[in-house]
Amino acid sequence: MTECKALRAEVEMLVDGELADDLRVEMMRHMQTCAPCRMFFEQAKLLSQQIRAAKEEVRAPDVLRSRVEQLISERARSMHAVSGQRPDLRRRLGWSLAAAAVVLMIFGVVGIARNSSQRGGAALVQAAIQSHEALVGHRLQLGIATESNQAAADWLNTRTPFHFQIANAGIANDAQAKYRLEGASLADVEGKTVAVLSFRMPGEAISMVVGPGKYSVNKGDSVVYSDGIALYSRRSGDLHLVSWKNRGLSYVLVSPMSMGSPSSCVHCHAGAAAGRTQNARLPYDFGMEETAQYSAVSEYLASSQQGMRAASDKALP
Amino acid sequence: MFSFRRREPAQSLGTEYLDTLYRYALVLSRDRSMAEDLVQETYVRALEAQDRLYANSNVKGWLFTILRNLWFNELRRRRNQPQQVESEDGIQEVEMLPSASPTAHALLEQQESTSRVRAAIAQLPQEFQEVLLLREYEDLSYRDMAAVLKCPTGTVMSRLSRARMNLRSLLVKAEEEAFSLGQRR
Repeated sequence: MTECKALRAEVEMLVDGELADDLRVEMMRHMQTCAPCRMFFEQAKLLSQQIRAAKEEVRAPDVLRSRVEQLISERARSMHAVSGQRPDLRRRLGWSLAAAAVVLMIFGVVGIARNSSQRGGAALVQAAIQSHEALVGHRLQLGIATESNQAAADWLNTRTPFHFQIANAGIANDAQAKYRLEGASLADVEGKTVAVLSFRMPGEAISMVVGPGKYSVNKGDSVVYSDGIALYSRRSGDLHLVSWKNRGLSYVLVSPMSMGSPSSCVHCHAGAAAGRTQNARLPYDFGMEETAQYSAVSEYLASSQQGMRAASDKALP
Repeated sequence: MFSFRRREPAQSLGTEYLDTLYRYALVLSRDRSMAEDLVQETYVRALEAQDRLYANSNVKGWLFTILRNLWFNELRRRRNQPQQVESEDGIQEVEMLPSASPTAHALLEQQESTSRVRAAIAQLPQEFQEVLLLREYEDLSYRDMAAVLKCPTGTVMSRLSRARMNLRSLLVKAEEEAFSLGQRR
């Protein structure tokens, strides 16, 4: 009975459609033989139905409606006015930036590339926190919404200046994962494109930023070694960060869940029993090819193109 | 130094969420005039920031977040002002939030039940009404609710659970009262 009381949160999640498939099946199976849980489930379902049935139709006053419609049409008019100027602005900015890029390419390639790699510092970690908050707050939307690792990798590989593929082995195997990929997006860190991946577990959002290995990862409050790779863990407010480097890329994982100990792997990976972490594959070891080797020139060219795109974007309304 | 990438053209904002925003504003402010101001200002802010939206943005959650932020700014502003005693005439009743006193004796049983649920919801603290609205009326996921309420999903779950527990107690009490009233007749 005491155990069943502890399951009540899961029962409510079941009613709210927030329980993961495997847990839902498990819970339904449990309720076949557990009368108290079954009764709690029926009551919770009934209450939800009663609340929904009591929903009263509310219509915003006409005066408010017409004010809002006016705001929208004014905004549409101003957007239209600005968009008419867009091609000229973009063309002008594009040419001037292209000219600047040629000059800089001749004189400043090596210096800029070196400076950029030294500045990396906490930028990727900061980007990971901001991306996570923006994803949760709907300010950053997924460029591709998919549960397919391959589809996300394909999408990212045409947009990032580094190559990666998503591993499907060890505890990162799909069958072991309690999390689900939601999709991918992009962010710019110091003019460089980095990958943002969004995962979801029941009730929790997890995100990960992946960038070139030149970005240093912050040394955390604790460290866990897995296959010789150091996973640094630390807190930032309500969030927990794990960062590591592997095969030429830097990773920062952000989650509201604590991830500072080997046993915490079981939160996300069904097969990751406590103590196995030392020999387990990384949860997000994407098995990167050793192709993330950039010359200073290609690195600079990539940043120049992004700089032009960013400047063009700023000209948009 | 750090920026998000614009991937797709911004969505155009329409009035499809107007009624639902107005309902939410009423739950927060319990004042029709204030609710109208909140909704209008929400649209002003949203339209200004519209170009930051993506094609697949959760516009509804975003609008709810803006509205809630505006309401809390308003509350902060009020707290910093000298307190005024409001006369009873000045208090605007909100039609959609029914009074706690039972007035549905003449209605059919189904309507009585609905009325009891509405009355019970109206007796709940505002934070409980809010989570019930976001979950049951607006169908937001725990994650989206957490974004709107600016709290962890665990807090959303516990608040929602407490809201339902309190509502259940109020409904049981209301049914007992209705029963004893029927016995006395």
